[in-house]
Amino acid sequence: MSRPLPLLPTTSVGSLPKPDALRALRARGRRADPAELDSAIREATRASIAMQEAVGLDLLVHGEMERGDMVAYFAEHWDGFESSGFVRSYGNRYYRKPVARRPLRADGPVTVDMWRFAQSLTDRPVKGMLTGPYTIMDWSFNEAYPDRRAFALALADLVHEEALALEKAGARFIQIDEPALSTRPEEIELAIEAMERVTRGLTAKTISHMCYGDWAAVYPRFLDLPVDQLDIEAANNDYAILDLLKKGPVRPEIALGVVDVHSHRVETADEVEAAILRALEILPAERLYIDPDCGLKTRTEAEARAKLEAVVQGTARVRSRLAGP
Amino acid sequence: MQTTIVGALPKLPVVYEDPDNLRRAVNDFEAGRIGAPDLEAVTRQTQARALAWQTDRGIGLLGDGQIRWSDLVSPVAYDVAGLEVGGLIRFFQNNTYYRHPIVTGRVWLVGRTLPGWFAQARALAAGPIKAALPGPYTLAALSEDRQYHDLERLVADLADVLGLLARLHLEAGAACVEFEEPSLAREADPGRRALGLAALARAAARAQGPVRAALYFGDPTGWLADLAAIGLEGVSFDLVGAPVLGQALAAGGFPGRVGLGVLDARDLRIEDPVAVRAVVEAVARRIEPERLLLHPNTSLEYLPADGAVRKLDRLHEIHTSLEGVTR
Repeated sequence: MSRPLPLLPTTSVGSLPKPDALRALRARGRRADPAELDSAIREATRASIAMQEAVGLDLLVHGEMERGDMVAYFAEHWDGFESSGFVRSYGNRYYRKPVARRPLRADGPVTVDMWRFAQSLTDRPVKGMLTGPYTIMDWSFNEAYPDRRAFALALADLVHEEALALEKAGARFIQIDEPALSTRPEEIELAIEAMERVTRGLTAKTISHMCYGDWAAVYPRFLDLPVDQLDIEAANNDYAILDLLKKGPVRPEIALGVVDVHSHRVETADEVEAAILRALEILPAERLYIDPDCGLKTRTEAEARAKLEAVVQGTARVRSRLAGP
Repeated sequence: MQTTIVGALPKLPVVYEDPDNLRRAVNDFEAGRIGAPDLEAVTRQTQARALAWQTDRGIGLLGDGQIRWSDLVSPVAYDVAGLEVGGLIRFFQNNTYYRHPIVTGRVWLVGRTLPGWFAQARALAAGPIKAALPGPYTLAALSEDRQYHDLERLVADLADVLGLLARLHLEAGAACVEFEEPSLAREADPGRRALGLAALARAAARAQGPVRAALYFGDPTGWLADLAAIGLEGVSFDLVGAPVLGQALAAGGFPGRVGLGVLDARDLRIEDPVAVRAVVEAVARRIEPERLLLHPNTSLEYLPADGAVRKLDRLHEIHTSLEGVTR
């Protein structure tokens, strides 16, 4: 049984930087020795858990060392998906966009093993990490289903099975990321419908991470996403999201991003403290978690650690303030 | 009736292992394994391939495919003082990103990089070729304004700058310049829309030559008359995102050369030629076929190279099947 969380729990969003040795192995693609790759993934996961414990985070992530991309990982493991050729995401960065060629099917859970391994390394809770059906649908080509709704709901059933398996394995926190949620405001109802399928019947705390979107376009409906906690990028946009959240009631807990994962600059504990105090003007401390804006995989290991240290130190100061003299 | 493309084409070859792979060349250049002349050679081969994809399929109005562009907006900063390049932001509803321009001073044209890139493509083209630039409203909407704090002034100044850039492209041999205006196509506020339309007209006046607009990711059905009134050489529409546009054009017509974006450039599935043909024939009963252009609804760079080429194949097939169609 992992220990309880303090006030203003600190956490991370999902991915952490991969060590150079693992990057080099992954770059070999199919030429990499599977046993060697698995060993490197577990070693990197062990290091990521140790780093988070040393920094002092309360709710950990396993770091997604086994994943190249949050959508492609699931597509690589579910029958019916194939990879397309390379599609450019920006500049000289490309990814193989998944294609649903046939109705999708899972042969078993694909995230439980790594979650179980990571949780075995610590007495702090580790989040089970999934990608939401709407985002997988939106970031894939569809040749198998008649329309986007049918595609998204089929994915929701698969993600639901994965969440059930994580819960059965002991995960108390399950995060289902939906960064694409705000990109088509006209489809917010579909995203909510799909998430209802995912979280139906779960007893674990459910979280959904969202980032880099036009939240005003889906306000206030995005607050109705059927999860217990919304994890929102905020620092990158100078906390404009708080202006929205103060407009009306906020049902779910909020995990607030207080460091920008797309900047090399490491925020200070002062900045984090100020951001949390700003959030506390509209959100109760009992319903607020503190973390980076998004996954830290694009930062160096040193930058990622320093940003997480700023999160922990800034949060500690606010806890002290709240505890009083 | 002719065919064309919209904006960017994939930079990679259909067969990834082919030697003229720009991605690999850039990686090799950055790692110091090849020099600048080698990278330039692969870039030119990529440009030539993008043109060949089109000429081999009978495209009548070629596009340069924006082979040297990293995204639709940030390269403008190479030629415009007062613009800096900022962080990555998602490009509309796509899993694709752009570096957002930051307006840090009064904008004015200082460089010739983009016309130079276009001239290189023009030199390789076997037929009329258009240039693609971001439209003034879209450039303003996707930028972070730290200088003007006045959208009307910013859009007007960007219209002047882009109009001059368009003129340079025309002087470099462009058959026309197409301003891409997804932000304008999606703009729901009438006042802001009026700003965008006025900016297009202003840019076209500065260009002193044929200027078009490509309106994708939105539905301008309700303001077609306003769009027609600004007197562009033509407008390309996204009939995939807004199928109702086909009916509106069939009912009310539209001046100039009218582009019908009838193939979905973000979906690997290949369209039913009979269904597409029916849409085109309906519009052609109202608009003379010689004023029509057929094209994908937006940039084919949302697809892998093989998918983009299959779309061009289908475009060619549909176009061929429409030969002889009269009003």
